[in-house]
Amino acid sequence: MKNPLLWLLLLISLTLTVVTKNTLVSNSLYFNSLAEKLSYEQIQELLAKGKKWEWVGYILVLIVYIIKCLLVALCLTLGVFFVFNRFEFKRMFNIAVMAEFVFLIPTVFKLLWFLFIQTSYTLQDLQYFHPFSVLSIFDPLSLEPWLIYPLQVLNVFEAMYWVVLAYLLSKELPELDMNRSMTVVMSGYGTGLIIWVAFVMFLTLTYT
Amino acid sequence: MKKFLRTLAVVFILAILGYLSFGIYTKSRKKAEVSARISTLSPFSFNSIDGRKITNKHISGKPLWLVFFDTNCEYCRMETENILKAGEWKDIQIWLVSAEPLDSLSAFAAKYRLNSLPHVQVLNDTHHAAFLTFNVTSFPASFLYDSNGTLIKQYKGVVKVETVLKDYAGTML
Repeated sequence: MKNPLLWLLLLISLTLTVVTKNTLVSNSLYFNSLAEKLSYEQIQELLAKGKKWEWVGYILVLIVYIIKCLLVALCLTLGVFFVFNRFEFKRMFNIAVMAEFVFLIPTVFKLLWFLFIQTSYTLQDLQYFHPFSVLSIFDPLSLEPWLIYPLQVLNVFEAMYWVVLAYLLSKELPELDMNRSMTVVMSGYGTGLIIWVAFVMFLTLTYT
Repeated sequence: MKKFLRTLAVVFILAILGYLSFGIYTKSRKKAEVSARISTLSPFSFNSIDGRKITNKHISGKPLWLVFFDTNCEYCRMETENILKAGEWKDIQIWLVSAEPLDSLSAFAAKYRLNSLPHVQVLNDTHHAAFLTFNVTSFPASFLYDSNGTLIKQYKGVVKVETVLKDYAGTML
């Protein structure tokens, strides 16, 4: 945990989560969005419970970021291992942390969008807002729930992330040019992502 | 050694992807089958808490709101409170169905005084229709059928009685 970039990533992501929660998600948004399901008192009860456990959500955000970086680093390590026959986990972890900053852009975009452009929204609007993704072409409510995640993953920022990973990999391992570096990213991270997306689809189909 | 590991990794990845793809295919097919099956009220058999056998024949020609629940689930208790708050309905009958033992269901019905509501019945899902017929994966899950046994709407989680009545009224227009 001596990686200052990791701390910076966690600090920014936590700040964005807190700011999003406190500026976009108000009590009245819950009341309006859940009015068809729960009574006023029941929503109040849920909000009180949510407030009590809010800190757990923030800790989970940090844990998810760390686990994601570890898994991406693992995928890249395996990719590099099959090309160079050597393990470079620590360097791959640094690359994963640096590249993760790309995914802060859509979070900031979402915050600004709902703060200044679409100021009237529901919880569902917040949940399904994925800028520059294939999902934004469709009406999410008309789709089968298990199709939402793969369509959400197909987005401009994911493509940027792949390029940034390949670029950082070629900088870290000068033996790799950009093309070979992209091959490592595709075979390592790409394979991991396909398995992850299939796993999420499988779980969604099982539990919805 | 490297070649062996590479082959092993490829086989491992293909095995995982094969398993997940097969799972996605079979589960999506099952989902489509369930959707088709529940679009009209399938034959069923439940037990009332006083031991009577309740089947399709006991539907009194009124729309039916079939609510699958569990007495230990907090949202199911919220749903029950919603039903109680709405008072007596003349137009729709409500069947609260759970696979739990009869004594738990009796205690639940007594606690919420459900026996005093003529349009509400608490029933025991003896044949696990929730899972086998309706593919319920979480409670509460409910299904609103019109008097001909055609599905009007299905709800996942809690829903207010006013919303159910609105959906029913929507089909009458």
